[in-house]
Amino acid sequence: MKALPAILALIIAAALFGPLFLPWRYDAIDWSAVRVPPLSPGHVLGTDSVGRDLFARTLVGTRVTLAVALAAALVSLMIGVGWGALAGWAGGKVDEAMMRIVDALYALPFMFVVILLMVVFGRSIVLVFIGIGAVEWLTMARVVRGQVIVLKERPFILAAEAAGAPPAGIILRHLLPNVAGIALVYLLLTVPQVVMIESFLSFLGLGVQEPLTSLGILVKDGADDMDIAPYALLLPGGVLVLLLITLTLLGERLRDRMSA
Amino acid sequence: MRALILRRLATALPTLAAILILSFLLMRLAPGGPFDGERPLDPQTRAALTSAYGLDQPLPVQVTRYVGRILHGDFGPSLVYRDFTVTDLVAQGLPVSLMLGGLAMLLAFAIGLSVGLAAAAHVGSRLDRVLMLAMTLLTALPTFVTGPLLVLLFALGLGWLPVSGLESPRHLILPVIALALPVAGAIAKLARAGLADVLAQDHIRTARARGLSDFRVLFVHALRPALVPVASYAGPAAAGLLTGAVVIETVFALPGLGRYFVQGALNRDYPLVLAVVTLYAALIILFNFFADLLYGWLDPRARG
Repeated sequence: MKALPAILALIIAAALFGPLFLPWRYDAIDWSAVRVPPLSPGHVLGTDSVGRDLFARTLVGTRVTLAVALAAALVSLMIGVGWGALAGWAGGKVDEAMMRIVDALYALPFMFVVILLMVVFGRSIVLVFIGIGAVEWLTMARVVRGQVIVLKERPFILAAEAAGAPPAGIILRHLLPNVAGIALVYLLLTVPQVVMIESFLSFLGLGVQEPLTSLGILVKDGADDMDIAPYALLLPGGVLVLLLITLTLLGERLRDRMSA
Repeated sequence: MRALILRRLATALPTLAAILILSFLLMRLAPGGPFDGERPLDPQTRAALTSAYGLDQPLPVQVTRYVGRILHGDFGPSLVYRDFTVTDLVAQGLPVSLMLGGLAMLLAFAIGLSVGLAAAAHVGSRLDRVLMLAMTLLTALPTFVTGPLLVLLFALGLGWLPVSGLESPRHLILPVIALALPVAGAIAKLARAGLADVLAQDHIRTARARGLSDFRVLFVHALRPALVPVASYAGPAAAGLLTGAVVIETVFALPGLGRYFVQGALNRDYPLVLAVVTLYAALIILFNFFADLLYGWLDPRARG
């Protein structure tokens, strides 16, 4: 379990810098080596059905997946913290109405909302993460609101109010720094969910588009080809699963530590 | 109990109406239309098609017509599958999806509850820790990875089960398992947490002190209150199964609603996508409704 941060760091470093050291670009086609198995000369992990280097593709796919996940998680962080802080600070009817909206949204099938957005506004990578971020902020809003309601009654906030500080200043200067810790933990918990949604969309052909690649696209390509070349599925699938498990366990551990 | 039912209905119906109208408007905002093919249509044909499908009317008229037709069970013609109405397509796909989802739900509850019970009966033991780690892994595994992996192992590798299609009940075994696993993991975790909480309470200690058997304590006194968190998960579980079914139907080439949905989304087949989203929303609202009733039955305090 102590290895979790190390595994995560390794995956991120490999995705960021790995492609620099490879002779093949992720979209370059090697006509002399179409669908060669792993450990072939020139292609350590083999090539896919059109002769693209699988190692390079997996590294770049991981990079795209991580980038989309981080961007989407940040979008959800901004919406969630803003919404939650506002609701918690306003209190009363406003709070009730805002949280009622969150409850109602919880009951909706998110994946379909994101897909609907993709269908309507076209399938671009920017929309993928904005769309995902726009539906994944609910838990963040709840957590931040709960925290703000507790903080609001603490003496230092009351003192700031008594001293005549404007509400915006109190929220920015005093409240947000104090919810930052828990917000970051939930940001970490959001990342694997976003990775899952992105791969899901890309797998169905509705997310990241070729020639760009992501782990979801690679798993899809591998699954289409698995009767002949199972390694094309196992490699990206393995990286995706490792990434999801590491992020989930790490996030849960941090959350348990925060609440303990 | 009646107050609870009425209150839930009062929120469910407007939610459904809002979803209908919003998804319709969203679709109409879309740049690009259903008649944008590879070759541009000549203006006359385009105008004829547009008016035949009523797309030249003002938006409020379109919305009202659309909702009115849906209330009569008519989702209009599919824009891509030219010879089918959307209702035909949905009627073909829905039974497959319901069977897939229903079986997966049963399997998920069977696995989830038994693992949850086993872990809670030995809280803190090695068995408990191993089971819970396994369940965390299950919830972290996406269906679009487990599905192909199961096919690779049991269909292509061992040859025990068919790869894809839906010619016999045997064709459903792998899809149902792949769909059920993540939900089973979540249910097991909730059931374990709920049971562990209840088992630590005073009335359970009293029941034990009076000499009741472990079996009786667990199943008669502890299980019902412990299931409250599981019941509240029934709604999200249904949503999870529906989303998972979209992938599973694609992976296993099952002729269900999810596949039509993906095809519709890729082809910009508005009426088809709208119909499926509406149906999904209705199903999820229905499930949340049942979950609330179950909740009220399990925990009398929630009935008020």
